[in-house]
Parts: sequence; structure tokens; C-alpha cells
Amino acid sequence: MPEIKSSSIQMNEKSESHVYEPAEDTFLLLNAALNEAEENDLILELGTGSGIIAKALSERLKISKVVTTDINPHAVRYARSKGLDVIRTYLFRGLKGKFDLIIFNPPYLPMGEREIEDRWLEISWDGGDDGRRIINEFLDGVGRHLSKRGRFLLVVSSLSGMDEAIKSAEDEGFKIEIISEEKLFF
Amino acid sequence: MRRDLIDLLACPICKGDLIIESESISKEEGDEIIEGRLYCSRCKEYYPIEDGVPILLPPEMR
Repeated sequence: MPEIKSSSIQMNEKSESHVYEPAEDTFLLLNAALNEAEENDLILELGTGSGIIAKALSERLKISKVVTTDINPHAVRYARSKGLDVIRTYLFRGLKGKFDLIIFNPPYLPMGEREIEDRWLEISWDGGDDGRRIINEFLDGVGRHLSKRGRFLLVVSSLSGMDEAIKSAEDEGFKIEIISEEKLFF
Repeated sequence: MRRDLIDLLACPICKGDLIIESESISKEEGDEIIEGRLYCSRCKEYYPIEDGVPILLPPEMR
């Protein structure tokens, strides 16, 4: 399967300054999701942002249903303009039911107290003091929303403690596998 | 939102079922509700559907 590279997709409207622009981590997850998703899967993408992962999945998998969420009102508007089913909610708050595949590129950067310049944009990367605040909340809730054959794909960064995140997931009873890695320089 | 999405939605406060409040629907396109409201009978709370997107946040988080 050809890899989708960041250079081939761009967000087109200038309006989306408050939405996380597809970056390296987006494409890492996108390619992993395209490999993992199966026809007939009921798929949930949390924090869909620009919606490009969900959009690519729904185009590739004709039978599967893809549902997306974001807490950012600008992101939900953008994702909906791409024809996606979008719910504005926080993690699993407004959801019930079980999904076969749950995808999440969470806010994972460690950030302390600081001046906030763009609240909706910063929410997309602010992972709290250690970078794992949202990841831990996700791991706490995801089990209740997975079907019997349910899997989840989660982006975790070395900046927010990969071993700790994996341990948290294993403590919740999940079997964890690293399926894709990329080294990035900041 | 498409009407069948309701099966996957829950009240963000009590996680109970939501209903589509039919009389609140002011705009529809095909089977999609563009403007309307969802209702939790347990919490007596309404959740708006705006521009086709259900907003399932407690009032203080919107």
C-alpha cells in the first residue's frame, strides 16, 4: 500500500487557524490506521481535528462506518465540511456503544501553567504536566467502548514517557504492540 | 447528524440514553438533522445540534 506523505495533503481553507494541522504524527497514525482497519469495522476517531484520517478511512472502507469527535468547535465544523459524522464532545463523554477500532492522536506534549494564546489550538497538544493526562483518561475509558474484537491505535511520544504510557495501558489489562515508529526532531 | 447516530450517543452527564426532540428540529437535509436538540430525560438537560453536529458537553464546558 503506498504510504501517504504529508506533502500530498494540505488543509486548504485559511479559516482553520484554530485546528491542528496534519503533521508527522497525523500521517504516522493515518498509515497505521489504513493497515489496521478492516471492512465492516465500526470505527471511532477521537479528536479528529482536520478529519483527514477519518476521511481517508471512510473512502478506503466502503462498508465500515466511521464516527469522529472533537471538543474544538472549529475542528468539528471543518470535519463536518468534509462530510464526516462528527460529535462535539470530550473523550468518551457523549458516547455509548462499542467500537471495533478506536483511533486517537491525543494531546501529548508536557505543558505546565502558561499564557494561553489560542485556547482551541493548544487543547490539541496540551497533555498536562507530564504529557499523559489525556492519555491516562483515554486508557481509563477505552475498555468500555471496545467490542470483542476491538482494537485501539494511540499515538504516544517519547516526550511524554512511552514506557509509562505502555505500563498504564497494560495495567488496564490491554495487550500492547508498537506497530509504527518515527523519529522526529524538534 | 444522521438519525441513526443516536444509537451511539449518550448523555455526557449520566451516560443515559438521549432522544431526538422532534419538535425542536428546525432544519433537516435528507436523514440528517442540521438544527435541533437532543434531550436526556433523566438529567432534564438539552443538547443542541448545530450545523449538523450534536454538542454533547455539559453546559459549563460548551
